[in-house]
Amino acid sequence: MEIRVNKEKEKATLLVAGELDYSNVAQLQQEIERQEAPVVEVVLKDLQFMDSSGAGMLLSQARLLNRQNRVLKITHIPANIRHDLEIIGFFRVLETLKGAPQSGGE
Amino acid sequence: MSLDTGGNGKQIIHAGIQGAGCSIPADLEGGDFFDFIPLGEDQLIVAIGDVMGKGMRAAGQMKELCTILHACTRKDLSLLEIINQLAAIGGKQLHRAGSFATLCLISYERQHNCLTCLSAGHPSPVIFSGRNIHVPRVRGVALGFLEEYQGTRPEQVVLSCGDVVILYTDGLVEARDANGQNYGLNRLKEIVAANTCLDAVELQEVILNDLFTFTGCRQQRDDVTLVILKKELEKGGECHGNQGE
Repeated sequence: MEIRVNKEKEKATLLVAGELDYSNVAQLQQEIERQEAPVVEVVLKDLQFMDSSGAGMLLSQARLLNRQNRVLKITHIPANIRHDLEIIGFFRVLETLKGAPQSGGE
Repeated sequence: MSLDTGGNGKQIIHAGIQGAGCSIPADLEGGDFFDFIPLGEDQLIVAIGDVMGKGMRAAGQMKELCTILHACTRKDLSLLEIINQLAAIGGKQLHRAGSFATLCLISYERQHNCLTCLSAGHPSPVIFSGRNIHVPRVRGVALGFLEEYQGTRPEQVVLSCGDVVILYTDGLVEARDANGQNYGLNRLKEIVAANTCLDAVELQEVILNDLFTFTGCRQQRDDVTLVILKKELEKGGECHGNQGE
């Protein structure tokens, strides 16, 4: 997995490429936790695979930032990954967070 | 009758249903699980699920969830009540641990030939009846994400003799070949539709052989779990499947 970070004043953008699974999920988590901007956007355009560990971590981080009155946006989700996330109810949980929606883009 | 085939396989014949299931962990211990729970003479509960992550932690959480499931099924609850209790007890434990689990629950009652199913974040079962393939529209949020179960109402389907029900985890349809292509739900449907005449154990073997042919027996990223249910034929009854056509 490769993570590229673009920092602006109000937003940090993390572009994630490759495969996100239980073996490297901590790497992305640490990168999200390192950001201080009010909005952190995780762009999944070049992600080829995400397992349940990745989905669980992203939801935990979305909740954590929400409690800090910040936003974790998950965008440009590839269709195959979006399908898996829809089945587990990922977006329904995001909708319960204050300031929804936290996901968007194709 | 419940026969433990050892390892990660189980078979059952109960309430007029043949059941066969197996789980192949990607790691030494996996987070996938399935179970057959006979209730009385005429009811069979079937569960399949996937706990987040892999290894001993996921396996431990999976065992706790199974224990709660068994306790719930002893209370004469409806499927919806069972999943509500699982969400309230097991889901809370998973949430505290920063984890979650998907679950598909099925109840079959012989008296009305009625199969009821519910899902908490798990792929829907696939039902093969003659030439028809039906995927119940049951959807819900995985256990551990929310404080209570949120999802569709249970769906009921009347099974005819020879009908086949397939339950699986995402590791099966996302198993990859040497070129990185997924096995896919369509290939699974095709191989089942062509072999519905087989009994549950034989059908499981055919599907796994097809999967291993596809993947070239490569180590997979995720656990693979497959459960097959088949409504037994009446004595002297004929198969209405497609085998050999």
